[in-house]
Amino acid sequence: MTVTLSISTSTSQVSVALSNSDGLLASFTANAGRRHGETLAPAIKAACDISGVGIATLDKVAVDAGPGLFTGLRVGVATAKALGQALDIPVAAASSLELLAFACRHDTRPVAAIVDARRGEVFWEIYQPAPGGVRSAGPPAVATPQALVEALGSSSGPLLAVGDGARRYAGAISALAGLVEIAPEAFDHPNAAVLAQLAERLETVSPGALSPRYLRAPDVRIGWETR
Amino acid sequence: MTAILAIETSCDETAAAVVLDGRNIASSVVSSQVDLHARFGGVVPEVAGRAHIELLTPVVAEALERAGTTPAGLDAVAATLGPGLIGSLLVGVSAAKAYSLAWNVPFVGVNHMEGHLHAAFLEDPEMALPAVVLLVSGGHTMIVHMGSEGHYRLIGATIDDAAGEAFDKVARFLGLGYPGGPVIDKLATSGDPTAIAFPRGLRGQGYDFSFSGLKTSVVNYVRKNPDVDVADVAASFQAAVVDVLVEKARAAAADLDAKSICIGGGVAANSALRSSIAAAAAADGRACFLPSRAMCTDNAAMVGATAWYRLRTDGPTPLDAAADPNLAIRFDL
Ligand SMILES: [Zn+2]
Repeated sequence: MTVTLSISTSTSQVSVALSNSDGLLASFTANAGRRHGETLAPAIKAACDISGVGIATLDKVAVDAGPGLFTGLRVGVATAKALGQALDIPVAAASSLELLAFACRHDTRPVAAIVDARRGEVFWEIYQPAPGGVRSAGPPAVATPQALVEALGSSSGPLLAVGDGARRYAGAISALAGLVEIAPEAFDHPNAAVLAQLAERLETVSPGALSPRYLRAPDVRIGWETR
Repeated sequence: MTAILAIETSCDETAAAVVLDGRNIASSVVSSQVDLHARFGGVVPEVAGRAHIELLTPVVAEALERAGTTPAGLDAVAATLGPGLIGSLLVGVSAAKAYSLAWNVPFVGVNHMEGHLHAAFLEDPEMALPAVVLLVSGGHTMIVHMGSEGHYRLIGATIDDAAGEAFDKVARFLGLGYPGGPVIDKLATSGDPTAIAFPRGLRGQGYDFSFSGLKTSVVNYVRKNPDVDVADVAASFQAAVVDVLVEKARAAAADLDAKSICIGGGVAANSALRSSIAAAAAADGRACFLPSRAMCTDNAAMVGATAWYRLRTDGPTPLDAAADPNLAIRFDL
């Protein structure tokens, strides 16, 4: 039976899940702050140990490739690529925004998935309910909270907003009360257990072809003082 | 025999190597990002982090292939934990931990500067100790007393800019491009090193260095003398850096009665520094070891050599070890 390891590190959370076609075998979620690099490998080891899955028996690695925190994405994607390469198994990338929306698929409203991009911006995308899941209603975008509120305000009907970006800018979004509701805190972060549910449908690629989805050009300040 | 796969991603080189018993380099692959950063005139951390992600798995695959090693033949996986750029370090550290999990072998976290110290032994296992090692790079300038292998004492360090940083900043000011070390080295060969008397920072005042005053003085001189021959400026600037580096390393070797002098770090590839320190050591009757240029600049073989030593003395590094941009070398007191 195919065993999949799912990883999400695109926000301040680190989460991992092991699953097979019967469902979830183990999952682990921690608020890592900025300690993704310290938390992820022990979490994978713990999930494998507790569920009795030998890591060498994994068949696939699914990873949340963003958009999100650049440092978190580097940890998650580097780990997924190295595991895929080392075990000679395929990898699959999911969107952090789709994971947020998919977790809210039982709501009848369209979902605005919003990840905190830091530096006063958010990554966001609208998803429509669809049979068995959600369907993107437009490309992901980077926006200031003001621009986001403006875009959400032009919606023709009620929306559910979800994600740590919606939480952070709840004050600004509250101007749209009656039109936009923010999902409960339990849904604030993309979760590997949700990714495990989606993993079967994702297109697999070779580990070398996997990259983070940055959605933002690199900041080109030279790091004299950090070298 | 112990075979270690080592990974180095602390700055702008993506590197992997397989090192046997800490001494024999079975393979060493270095993919430089210098072309990516050249147009910015320095290393851009976010650009470096993104490039490491793309380059790491192919570089590791090539290192394994060139070494003729299969994963089953590996005994440990090592990576540089710091110092360096955090976004770059995280790529190598995360990947190394993943390889260690996948292959069920120990993970070993290594200090990059300790790697530079071990680089000398990779090419000259018989290097006479105690030694004085001058470590000069874009991020560091230090004099280290190596009493025996793995035992170091910091004797002196820069109080402001690193020597390599001074090269980069001066090259940028002179419009020579990036990286500064090689361009100044080359241009200086056609200039007069005695043309301009630039200051020698902290000369005769212990083993610490200061290069920020020198950089300022180059800037001021060129602004006052816009028609000056750039080759003379490059040669005179380089002479000022090399003079203090050699003078202090030489004095430290004499004070500590060192048997040999060794250099390491990217600036140790500078030809004026190499010839000057070799001449000084010869004059003083000390052995001098100049690692090959490839072993001076960042590489993963030095990480593998250090990892072998650390694995024997300290055992594996826990998987929750943090990449640390300011990681200090563990010096003996
Ligand atoms: Zn270095």
